[in-house]
Amino acid sequence: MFADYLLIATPLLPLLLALLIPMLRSAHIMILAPVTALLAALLIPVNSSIYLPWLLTGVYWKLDSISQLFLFFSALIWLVTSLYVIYAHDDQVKRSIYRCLFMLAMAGNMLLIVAADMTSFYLGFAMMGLSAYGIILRPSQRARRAARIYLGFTLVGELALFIAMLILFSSSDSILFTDLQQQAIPDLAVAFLLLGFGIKLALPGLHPWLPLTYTAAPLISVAVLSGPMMKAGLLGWIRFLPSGAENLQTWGGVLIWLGVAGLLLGSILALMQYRASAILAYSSIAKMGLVSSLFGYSLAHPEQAELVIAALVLFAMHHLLVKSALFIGLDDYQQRRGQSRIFFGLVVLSLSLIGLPFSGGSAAKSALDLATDGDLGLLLMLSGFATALMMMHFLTTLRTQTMTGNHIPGHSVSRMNVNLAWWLLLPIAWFGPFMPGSILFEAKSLLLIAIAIALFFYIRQGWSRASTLALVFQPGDIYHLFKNVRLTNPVLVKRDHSSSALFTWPQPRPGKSSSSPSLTIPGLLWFAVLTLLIISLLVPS
Amino acid sequence: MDIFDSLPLLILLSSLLPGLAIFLVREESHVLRTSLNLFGALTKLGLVGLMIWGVFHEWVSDMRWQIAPGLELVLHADALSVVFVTLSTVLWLVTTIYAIGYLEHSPHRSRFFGFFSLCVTATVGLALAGNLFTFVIFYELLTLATYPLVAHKGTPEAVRGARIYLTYTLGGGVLLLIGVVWLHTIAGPIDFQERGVLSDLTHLDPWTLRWIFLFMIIGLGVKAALFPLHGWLPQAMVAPAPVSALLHAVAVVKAGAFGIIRVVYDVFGVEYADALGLLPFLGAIAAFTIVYGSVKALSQDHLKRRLAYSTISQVSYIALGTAILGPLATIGGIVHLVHQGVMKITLFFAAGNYAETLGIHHVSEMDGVGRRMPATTLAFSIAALGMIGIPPIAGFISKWYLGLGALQAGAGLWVIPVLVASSLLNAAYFLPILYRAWFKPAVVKWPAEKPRSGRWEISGALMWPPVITAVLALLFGLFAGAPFSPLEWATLIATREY
Repeated sequence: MFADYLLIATPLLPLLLALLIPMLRSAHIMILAPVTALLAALLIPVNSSIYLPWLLTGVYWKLDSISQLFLFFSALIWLVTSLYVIYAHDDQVKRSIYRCLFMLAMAGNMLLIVAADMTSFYLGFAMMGLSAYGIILRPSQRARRAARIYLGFTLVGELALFIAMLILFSSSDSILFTDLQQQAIPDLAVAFLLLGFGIKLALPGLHPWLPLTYTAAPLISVAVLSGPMMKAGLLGWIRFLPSGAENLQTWGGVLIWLGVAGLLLGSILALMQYRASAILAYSSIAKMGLVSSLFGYSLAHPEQAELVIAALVLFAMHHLLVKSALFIGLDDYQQRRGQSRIFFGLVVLSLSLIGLPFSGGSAAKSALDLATDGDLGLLLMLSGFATALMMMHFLTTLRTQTMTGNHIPGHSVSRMNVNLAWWLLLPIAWFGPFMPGSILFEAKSLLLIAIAIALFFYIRQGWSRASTLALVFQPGDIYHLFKNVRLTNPVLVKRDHSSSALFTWPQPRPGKSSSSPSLTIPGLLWFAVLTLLIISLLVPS
Repeated sequence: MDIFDSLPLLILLSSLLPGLAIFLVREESHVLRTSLNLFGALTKLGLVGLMIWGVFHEWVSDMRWQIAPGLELVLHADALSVVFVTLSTVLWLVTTIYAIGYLEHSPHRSRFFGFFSLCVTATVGLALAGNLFTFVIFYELLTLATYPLVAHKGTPEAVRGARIYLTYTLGGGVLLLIGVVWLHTIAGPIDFQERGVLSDLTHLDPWTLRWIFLFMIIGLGVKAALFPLHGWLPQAMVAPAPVSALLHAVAVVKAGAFGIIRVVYDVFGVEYADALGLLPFLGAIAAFTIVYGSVKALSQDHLKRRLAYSTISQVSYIALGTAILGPLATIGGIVHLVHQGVMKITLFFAAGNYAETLGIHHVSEMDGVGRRMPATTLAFSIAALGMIGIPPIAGFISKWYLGLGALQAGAGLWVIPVLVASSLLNAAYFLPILYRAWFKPAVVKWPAEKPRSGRWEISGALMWPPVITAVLALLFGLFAGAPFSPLEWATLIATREY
């Protein structure tokens, strides 16, 4: 009984709070919703379900092991971001309409996670997607344009999903996901599903909204957009396209290659960006390309599907945690004009994303490798390699970048406390979704990472010499393709060799720094990598 | 079950008698007029509640009066009439409250409310009409009762709009009458009957029937604002806001749509109409009107005009649902009769509130209006999102069933693109309004702001009606599966029609 109420409260509480918040003076009550969702993920026994026949055309909610993972980690991110929203200093984020739509998006997210029927899922997906418009919007021209483009893509995605649902319902005569598993899925429906969720996952060609949005919206919004909301697209595929149907195998092959294209496109464009948030945005596209490929693999190989999906969900959860945490950290970093402590946190997160041994990233990758029988080993390797390059680029850009964030006037105690939440999130993001003890040591990936990092700095040298030739795509790439492909200056600024001090901790640089950081960061990284290499040699495998 | 048998008449009288009485009430007797209005509306609501119960258990029977040999006035309550009667009754009550607030201190209130009651009487009458003859009588009565309402303001513009309205609808009425008389001469008196009557009369020439259908659909299509007969609707928006609200949501436009449903289902029978090849014809017109209305709405800056074109588009969903063979499409069409009603009335109430309080008539003046009038704007937003078809608002349910019906009938290839295009277009003309209202900074000075009095953004009589109807739109969608929801009734009707 208690479990039932908790399950009902998971999506309904944020919905109710969304209506209450404009009337209340304090927004603290917001955190009630993600806390409830966390409790739901922890306390509700797996496979509990409820059926509410009066709602819509009869809704069926269920918490299976996949939704449990999604719910727990999404709720965690929603919790931390809620705290940031409550104590926000950004005028936009402080507005009650922002909070209201933030809660609505949360409600939609929770709903689609617990949904076991198409209508509830669609309701949640639509609610989440449309409400997000309001948390992207800012008064600036750029943000308005980004929000408009986002909305256009989202509407198209929703209608695609709507059509797919109509076709699915007509062929199966049921709105329950479990009934979809029994028969073939019409090709037209598959195409619309790939389109609908492909927009959320920014498949190549459907991606221009993403970099535009991520670079224009408040970073706290981006944290939820890139984490919980984006992964909803993957959940959609898992729910609507149960592997096993004959015709899905061909589609799986298509999706594998689409994903590879996304991975390449995202990685290459990420390296051409000169704004930290844009690099993270394109790295999301690359990662989602990998996710799409892996999902395509699960469709193409039904016999391995269960394992692949399980590993894929773990991988997605890791990305959800780290990417959200990165954006939250980036927000903090910019607000505080580049505080070193926060930079350290960002380095930790980046390393986990790269998949350094003993991190969740490496565990997720080996789980995937195992599940796919090593079939996609090359792709995983490529992705790890690209991620290492991208994250190095991100970190160095961050250090060279001028801090333009609106600095918080005076000392803000509340903001400090909120920052604590981020620090608490760090260890979870590092290991998550794995338990610290369960992560095995992977030596072979280490070499790859080392090569990538070396290559990065090598290219960086060469690149800066040829910097005028470096083509820089604006975030949103093909959106601008017809308007302005900009030939601007350096992705990477010419390095200044004057500074030395290999082992000093990086200091925040006041004002605009035309020179890049010293060798400190690469040095430290090299040091870390070498140490681990030595350890790996000492530890008998 | 005596009370159940006389219910249709009682329901008619519950608005007719107060209406006639109001004509006699002196202009200043505000309290008496309001009491009469509310008494009528509430009584009718109670009676309709009884009727719902009666029809659900199939207790209600016909009432007949012979006028001439072979010509009978028939009042009859079936599941379909219940839907329309309930819609009119509930929305009439809400609109009456709104109109009382809206017309405070304006002249000719007794005339207004008198005709207002007559208008609702006519609407309920044609909902309860048991045969084509009775239907036509109430249909014409509706035209005449609405004319003074449209012209109410008495400005040259209002008179012109009302004149156009009258020209169109009287013309349509004539065509409908021709169709009805023709059918009467060849087939005798025709009572509405579930699954139709004409299919059993095999001696009739199919081509004659096709011509009769054409006449009837044109006659009804004028009120239902099917392209190219829609020209009067945007002109008629000169009427006061409560009239526009009623016109677009319940009375006139819906009377046409309801007539189309009656003719297709209960005269021809949907399967027979399909066999005659009439449904694709109706469907094509409806589909074109849906897209056409939305495209025209895009370019309107005048808020009420934009809403008027939106009505043209949305009401054709009903005709579309009727034109697709199969129970699911029927459900979609009939349920949209109710859903469009509650959503559109909300939009017009809100438009009236903006005009009344801030002097806003144009979309371009709506910047930041959400912060000045949050309740009204919230209601407007819910209704607008519902029109686009965003779940869980009522419009989604309509769209879902129409889409399923189209696939069931194998018409998915042309219906679904129409639905999708319409959704996108709806988004394109409603979302910019919402963006302006909620996200743009407010202008320094509103066009004609009235001083604020009382605790709400606007007087309660004007604020609550849109809020209530918006909540209804939300509940109809959210609790579509609950007993006695519009969807359940539409399902009941569909099972009785096939």
